[in-house]
Amino acid sequence: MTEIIGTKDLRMVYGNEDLRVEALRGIDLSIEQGELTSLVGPSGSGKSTLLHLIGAMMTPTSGEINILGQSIQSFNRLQLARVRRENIGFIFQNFALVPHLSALENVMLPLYPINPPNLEERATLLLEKVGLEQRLDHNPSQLSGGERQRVAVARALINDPSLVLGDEITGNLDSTTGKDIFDLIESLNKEGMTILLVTHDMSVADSCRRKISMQDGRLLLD
Amino acid sequence: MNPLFKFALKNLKKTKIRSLLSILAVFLGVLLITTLLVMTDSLVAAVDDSLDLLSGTVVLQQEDAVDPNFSIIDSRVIAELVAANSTGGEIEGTIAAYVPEIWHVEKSEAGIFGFLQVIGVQPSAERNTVGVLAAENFPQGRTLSDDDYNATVIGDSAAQLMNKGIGDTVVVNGQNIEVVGIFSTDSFLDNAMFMHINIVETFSPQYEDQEFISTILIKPVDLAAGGKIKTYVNDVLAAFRDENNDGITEEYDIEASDFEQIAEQGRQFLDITTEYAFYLGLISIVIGSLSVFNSILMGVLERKREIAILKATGWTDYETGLEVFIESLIISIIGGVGGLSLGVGIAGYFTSTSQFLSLVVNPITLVQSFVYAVLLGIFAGLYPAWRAMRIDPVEDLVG
Ligand SMILES: Nc1ncnc2c1ncn2[C@@H]1O[C@H](COP(=O)(O)OP(=O)(O)OP(=O)(O)O)[C@@H](O)[C@H]1O
Ligand SMILES: [Mg+2]
Repeated sequence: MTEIIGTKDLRMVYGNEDLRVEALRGIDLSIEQGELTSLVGPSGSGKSTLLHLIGAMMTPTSGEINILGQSIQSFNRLQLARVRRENIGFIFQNFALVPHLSALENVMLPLYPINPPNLEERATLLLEKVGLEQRLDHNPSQLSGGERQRVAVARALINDPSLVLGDEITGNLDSTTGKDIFDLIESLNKEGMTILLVTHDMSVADSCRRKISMQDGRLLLD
Repeated sequence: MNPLFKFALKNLKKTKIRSLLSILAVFLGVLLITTLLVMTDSLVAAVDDSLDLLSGTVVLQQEDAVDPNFSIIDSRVIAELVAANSTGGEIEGTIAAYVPEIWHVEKSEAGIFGFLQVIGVQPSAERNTVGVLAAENFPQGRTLSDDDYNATVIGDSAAQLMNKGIGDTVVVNGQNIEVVGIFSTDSFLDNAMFMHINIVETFSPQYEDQEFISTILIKPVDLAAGGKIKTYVNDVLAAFRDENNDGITEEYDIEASDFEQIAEQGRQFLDITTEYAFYLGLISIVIGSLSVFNSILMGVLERKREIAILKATGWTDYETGLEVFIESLIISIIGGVGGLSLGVGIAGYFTSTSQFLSLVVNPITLVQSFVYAVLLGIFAGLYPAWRAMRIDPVEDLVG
């Protein structure tokens, strides 16, 4: 099996001398292609921090991160942005859509600067895939919470990522809608997508084939 | 349309009023600088045209008179000059003509500030009246001839003001005089009307039999000889004054000047005017660009979260900065093009209402105004773009 993510003794310290927060205290983690993994743990245990490091959004204090065989721990801002653009799809708790753009434009947005051919067609297909073919031109304010999160899922897929990361993606949704979104994620995984979800929702966590828990910046059980 | 550009437009549209206000600020700044620059260009061109017409000519006028209307000189000085010149010497053969003129100001509702400039000339005198009466200056009608004792020719600006055409009659000093020609020289003389000096001499007792006149123009054969002639003529005039000065009247205090000095002073004055106009315009553009700066920076600070999302989805710092920068360019270019067009329009309106100005649109001036608008748009956009570049993808996202 191909390893998508690998970390070695990953540490993250926030703040300065006076106010040190050791958010991660040595994480060794490996996730392989096609896995659907959940990451649970109490608030403040470092789940989001780990997700952001894996998502190439920042660099760790020490340790190694490998994404598809690339060591990214000492990448500069531009290199990290390229890793995000080429390999990562991110879904946020609060949907994080741009309010004055339509659903279709929100899905296209990550690739606006490079404007690849057939961007609009690809975005349309993805919105069809998440069941929003009737909502292409709607703004986020005209969509329900579940529909917004579907748009966010489609946006995470626009760059054809090798890895989709989600932080509390059902956190702002009622349980039925949350279940629908998880079903969508599960179907993506069945098509072969590697997915890592941070969640407080035990039904989501338990439905994942692999479940990792964290406490105080360390992995508890795998 | 490039999607990045389209996105920048949508962001501007979202804060419509703020964007419109900064477009307005740029618009007004560019409007001011364009109007000022085009007006000074037109002024420079008009003055240059007038100077071209006059260059090389030596003018005899009463000492300290502001212009020929305020000058009375003894016409016998012409005979003195002719006599002195025929005795040989370094300027012999360099003078083409001595042209006596009587300048008269007629009160007229149609004239500038209620006055109309009337110039009495000898129509056939060689290179008469600084060349205004040359046949090629007459797009309509004809020039004057020596037996035109009841005819006048008027400049196109004066014709427009008085609403007179060929064949119409104008009343000057109570006399009906027929308009036989309309001339155009693009100089300030286009506001004047010319007629036979024998008509004008009857307007005032002092001009009777042309014993006294307003001015004498000395036309050199070669324009470059103007300076030499001036020196020579001043010597003759000094002797003439010593001979005739009665200590009471000033008709013998005659002074010769040439237009090269006047031209030089005029050009210097215009250079300074242009420079001040430019700085004034620049200040207004800077104010415009501050407004763009403020509006774009506010946009970035308000959209911090959104920009963080863009970065999380893979936008590079450079692409984010570029998008913000494009916003400031859009504002500057829209405001700039608008201000440029209306500025030329306003200058066109001003010059059309002025008698001796005609609109001169120098492409360099337009390019200059536009480049300054864009440059200041660039300066206004740089800092906000840099702020946007510094935003981290996880900003405010830690959940
Ligand atoms: N930018 C930051 N600066 C300083 N401290 C931070 C920062 N981000 C997170 N922390 C701290 O690091 C620790 C881990 O935070 P993290 O957000 O990773 O926790 P989490 O497991 O995602 O919690 P939650 O379930 O509440 O989202 C916390 O103590 C938090 O206060
Ligand atoms: Mg978190």
